[in-house]
Amino acid sequence: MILISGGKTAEYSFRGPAMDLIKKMGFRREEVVIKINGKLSSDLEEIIDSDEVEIIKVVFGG
Amino acid sequence: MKCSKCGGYAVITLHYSQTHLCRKHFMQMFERKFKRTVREFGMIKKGEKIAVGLSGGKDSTVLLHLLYKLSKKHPFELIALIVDEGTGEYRKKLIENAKRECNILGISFKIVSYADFVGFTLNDAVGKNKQVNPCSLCGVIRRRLLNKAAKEAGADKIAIGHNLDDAVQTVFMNLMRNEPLRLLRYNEPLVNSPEFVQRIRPLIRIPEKEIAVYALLNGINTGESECPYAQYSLRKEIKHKVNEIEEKYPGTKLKIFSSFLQMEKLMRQSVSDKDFVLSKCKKCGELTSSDVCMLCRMLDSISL
Ligand SMILES: [Zn+2]
Ligand SMILES: [Zn+2]
Repeated sequence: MILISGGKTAEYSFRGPAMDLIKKMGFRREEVVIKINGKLSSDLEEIIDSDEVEIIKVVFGG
Repeated sequence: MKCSKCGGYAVITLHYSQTHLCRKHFMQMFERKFKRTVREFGMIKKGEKIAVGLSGGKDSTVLLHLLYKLSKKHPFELIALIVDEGTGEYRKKLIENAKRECNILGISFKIVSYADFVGFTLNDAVGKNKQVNPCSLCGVIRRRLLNKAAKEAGADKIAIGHNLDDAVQTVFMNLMRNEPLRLLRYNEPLVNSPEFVQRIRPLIRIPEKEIAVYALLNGINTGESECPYAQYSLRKEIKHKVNEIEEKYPGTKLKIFSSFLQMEKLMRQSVSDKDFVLSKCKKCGELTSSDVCMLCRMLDSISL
């Protein structure tokens, strides 16, 4: 799959629910949203090899 | 994931209620929650003039959109007060956002700046005195500035974009600082005075993440980034910890907020108006519970 996060795009090997990927990438589930193939998606959505996944940080400090 | 209501593609899962929602049903849930909160706390009455404290970030911008929509059905007047803290580039972008949103919706706005109010920007203050906590100073100036601007604009209420996450953080911060009484004035002022414009928080029951999703779905600009001073804040640490707990025990934020509402009610019963006598600040004349108001004390300590 292709992973887009923090302005960077990279090939990444992952299969499973999006929330596990969020955790693996060091984010908190409550602080990000996820787009799978350009569509805003539930973090329970299963990710497969051909997906393009974007993790967007939406909750900031302060 | 399929929408729990219609089987469409879910854009979000609400873990605290174990529901998955499609775009349409998420928007419906979100707007209902907002309207229910306005009603629950009797936040807006017909014909009132509501001033939205607008930062240009997602929370206050979504609030502006929701109030605008509501004002089309229930006649009340809406204006925006755009706050310029003076934190350089970070602010400039957000202020441009705020102005653009007001123009799109046809809402009149006024830009109010820290520099005009206290004579320096937040960057000036922090640059000159490392002892000052920027978040505390920023909060005090913002509150006073919004109150002043709202009074001048003849507004009945100030609407601010505080969300559920903010409320929970505030509860924790007041407990950690051993200032439980401060919580008492969160929803309603302790002392009713024409000097204080009442503050309303229509997003108070909505988690921050859902506000971001609503903004994204509605094409509301969210060019937000980290406040340059967030690193100094206890609030930020609490925020992350609470989110970790929420992830493990979904619904925690709502439960904390509900507990706070119950505690607030009990506390209010045990205090009387006489416990809160206000007098004029010796320096600036603003009503305060001590000799010198919080803002003047802070300004003294940084003495620019
Ligand atoms: Zn649906
Ligand atoms: Zn004063």
